[in-house]
Amino acid sequence: MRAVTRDGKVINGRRLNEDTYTVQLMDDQERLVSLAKADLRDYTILKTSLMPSYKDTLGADDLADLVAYLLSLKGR
Amino acid sequence: MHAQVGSDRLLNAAKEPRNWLIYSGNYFSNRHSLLSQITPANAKNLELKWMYQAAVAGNWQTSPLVVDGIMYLTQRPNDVVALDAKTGRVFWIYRHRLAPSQIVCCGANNRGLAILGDTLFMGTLDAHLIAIDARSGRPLWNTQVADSKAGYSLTLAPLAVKDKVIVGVGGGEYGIRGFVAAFEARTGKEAWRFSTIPGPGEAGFETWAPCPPKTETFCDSEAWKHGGGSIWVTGSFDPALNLTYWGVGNAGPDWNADQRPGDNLYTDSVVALDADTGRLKWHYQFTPHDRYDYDSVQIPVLADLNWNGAPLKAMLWANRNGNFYVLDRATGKFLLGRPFVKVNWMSTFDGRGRPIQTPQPAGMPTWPGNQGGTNWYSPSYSPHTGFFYVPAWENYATIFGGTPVQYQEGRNFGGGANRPYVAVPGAPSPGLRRGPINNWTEAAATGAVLALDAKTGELKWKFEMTDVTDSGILTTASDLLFTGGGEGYFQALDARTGALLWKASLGAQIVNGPITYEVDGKQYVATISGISLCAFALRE
Repeated sequence: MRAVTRDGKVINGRRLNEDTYTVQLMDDQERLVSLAKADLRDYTILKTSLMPSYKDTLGADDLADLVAYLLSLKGR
Repeated sequence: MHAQVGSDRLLNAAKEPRNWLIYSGNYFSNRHSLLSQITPANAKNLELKWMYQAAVAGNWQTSPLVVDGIMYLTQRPNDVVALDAKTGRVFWIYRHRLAPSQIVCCGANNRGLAILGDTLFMGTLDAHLIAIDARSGRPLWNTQVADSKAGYSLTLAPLAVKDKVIVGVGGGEYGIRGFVAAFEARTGKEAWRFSTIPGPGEAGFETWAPCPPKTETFCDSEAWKHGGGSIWVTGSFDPALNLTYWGVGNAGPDWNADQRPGDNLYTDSVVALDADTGRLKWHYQFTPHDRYDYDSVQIPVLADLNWNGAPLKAMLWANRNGNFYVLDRATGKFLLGRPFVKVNWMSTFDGRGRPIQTPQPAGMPTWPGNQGGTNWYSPSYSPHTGFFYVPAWENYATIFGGTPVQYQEGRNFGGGANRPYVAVPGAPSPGLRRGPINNWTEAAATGAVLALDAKTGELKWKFEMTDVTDSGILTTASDLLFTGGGEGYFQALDARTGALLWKASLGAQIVNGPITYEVDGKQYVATISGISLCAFALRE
């Protein structure tokens, strides 16, 4: 999600909880932030992820190796 | 101590707004008060005056009574509490000892009490009706209404009418055969009973059609014996017509309609019964041959309207099936039906008010979803604004499916194979309970208070909420509306416009109907959030 406060501050983050009047999120600095919707100029649920794309960084083989590694991980 | 609550006081409960004598406020069940000390101008000055904490966690659905400064309420599982309505301090607690196990679909719920004279009446999870002395908390009589081992229970607040106490039974998810029954208030002896599922020879039995001689799907030739027809919430009473009105729940099994051919009267209906004999005067079925669990277990709200220039004794009903109705409460004649949420299980009504059903193809969503456009929680009608206020679930659908189920006493008899309709497979969807984190999104469902023109069903305004709501609504003569919701906010709105005037964050789901009352010249508004009963009044 993306929120813009009345003084123009932009806050991007992952929405954790929401109700009619407030929204709670973890911002892109991993800080917990609680906002009152009445204090926001703009509030948008983003359709695309904030995570940067690795499309031009990882080739197909790199991606396959990464997925194979992740699948190999087991909990303790 | 208070004066006795005789039947005359109950008849005129609306004119005694400092008290709350009946579950829905008065026999017309409009949950509307004539108190006006709290106004749109001063509502911002509301503050918490006291709290009472229940001992048992879980959805606390009770709507208290207040009689001359004493508040009476039920708390889980089947306690009755008497406390000082000014301070919240307790006078006494009566605890009913339940049978070792109860079979209930939806939690250890109880929605409240009735009072007549100096006697309180409570229905129990193990299907008893108990009379309790309002002064001492001492039990006076205890009548077993039905067999709890077969899934019968009483979760509604009884209705005291004349010298009788009227209740209905829950348990439709367990294959009960529902009924409304009246008991002598003085003795607990059953006075009359009306079966919501007619038996052989009774009017309406023909709607439990025989099974076709050859069928590829399972058909139950004795479906009527466990046809459901629960009574989950308190009915209404018109003393001039001497009729008492009750909303009837879904047929059993809830979702596999194929095994019970026919319209399945009187499920998903409103029934009008003679208050002295229980004899059926008329019925109207909102959802014939229901395959969606569209219980008609809403509060029947009575209103005297000007209808096309003539006086009309009306009944107003926002049904779980997503339609708002106006009926003539003297005859049951259908006058108006209009969706208040998105509806696709039907297309229109015929001239007599029968819905033209449009069942969706397998795997496709039906609007409204299983919990309905609204449900058991109390609406309100304000004669002042002329608006009917509905706590609604919007943008909510279910992919319905039925599966054959054989009846077995005490076992779940739902026959459902439903899936929530959500944007992403596996995404969370709203249900009856949730914790402090909203883990479903607006794509699954949202809540709203809808203000409908009572004469046309036209939407006049909408107060939108992020989460769904199971809270009732209260309105007052000063044009205030109070309601809670799933998020735990208790809100005061302008009943004319829907503008938010005040709110308090109480921290847990609000699933009861708010009430208002007056003690020593001060008006209070009370609601329940989680296990906290909270009373608010204006700052000094």
